[in-house]
Amino acid sequence: MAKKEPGSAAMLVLALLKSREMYGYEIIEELARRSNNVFQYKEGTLYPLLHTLERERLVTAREAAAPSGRMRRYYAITRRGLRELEERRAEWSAYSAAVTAILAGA
Amino acid sequence: MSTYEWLRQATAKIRFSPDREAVRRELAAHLEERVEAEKARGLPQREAEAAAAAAMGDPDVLAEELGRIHSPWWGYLWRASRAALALIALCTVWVAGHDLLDCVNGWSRPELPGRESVYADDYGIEKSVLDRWRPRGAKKLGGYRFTVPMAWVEQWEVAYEDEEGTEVREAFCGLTVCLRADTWRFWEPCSPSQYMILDNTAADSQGNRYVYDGQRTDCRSFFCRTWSQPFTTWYMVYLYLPGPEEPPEWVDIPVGCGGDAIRVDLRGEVVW
Repeated sequence: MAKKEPGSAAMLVLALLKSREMYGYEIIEELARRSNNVFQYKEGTLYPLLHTLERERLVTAREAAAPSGRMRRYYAITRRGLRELEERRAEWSAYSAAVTAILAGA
Repeated sequence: MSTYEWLRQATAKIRFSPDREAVRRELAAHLEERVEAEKARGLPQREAEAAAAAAMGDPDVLAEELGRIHSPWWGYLWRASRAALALIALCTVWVAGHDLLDCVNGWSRPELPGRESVYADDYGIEKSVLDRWRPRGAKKLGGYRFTVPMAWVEQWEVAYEDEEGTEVREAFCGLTVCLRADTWRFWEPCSPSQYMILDNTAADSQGNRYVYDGQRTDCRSFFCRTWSQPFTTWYMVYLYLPGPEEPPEWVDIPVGCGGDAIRVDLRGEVVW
């Protein structure tokens, strides 16, 4: 199963796919762009994650031709994926609030 | 490391070949875009490929993860189940085709006389219809619904040569009763052996008895032919009469082995 710890890459990928479907290279670029390069993963590691999410039916995939003619595999979030995202978002909110509270008292 | 070598190593642990090819295509597309991005920054082809491969990470680590995720067992099971389904479908079509052909060849219904008073039967014998009825009513027996679409009295002549070669013409007269047995259980059509026990006797309101295909002289004879369709079995019961005579008010046709009989009421209006 895709790792469930708060703030995991799975949650970030599901959050990106909530706005629109994307292919792998695009996901990597968007993660780096939106996080101001804080999240710069080894690009290959994205694919075991995407394939796991697909197997868990949190995302679906389809192949389509890019304008260049290259075949791309686009991923889209499912309803189950949306529910999972909301659960993880709630866990992250609780986690980050707890960390913030502890650091504030330090 | 070249992108080709990186791809080869990264997909080496995916044992189910269709999955391996699909993952390879996906990773290759990613690498191509990365190489183009590196070349756009000014790197020559070789160095762009090396940079792209480095950006993808350790291919052996990735190979382990991809090999674990893409288990070959589901793929082989899917292939085996598709092959099994295709085989079952083929066998079903073959068997059904043969059975269907046999069924269709066996599907038929008797020819009932039309409006004409003279008609030719299945054997080509010209028969004259003297009286005709459409008896009402139905009887349920053992899950089958028996009705009588038509009954009629007819006469005909048969010519043949005797032992001395002399032509002999013999006149016959008979009461024909068409029975129909309907059921929704198409796999259990009404069978003559079950519902027309042929060692029973038929009887009429005039006290005459009819024995199946009998050679006896103390009573008359009858015999039966059947036609089968998926939901319907047709019976034609031929009761031989000595000659044109006043038809009986009713005839009891034996069915089943419990003494049941279908009473065919001939008191209704004669129908032409």
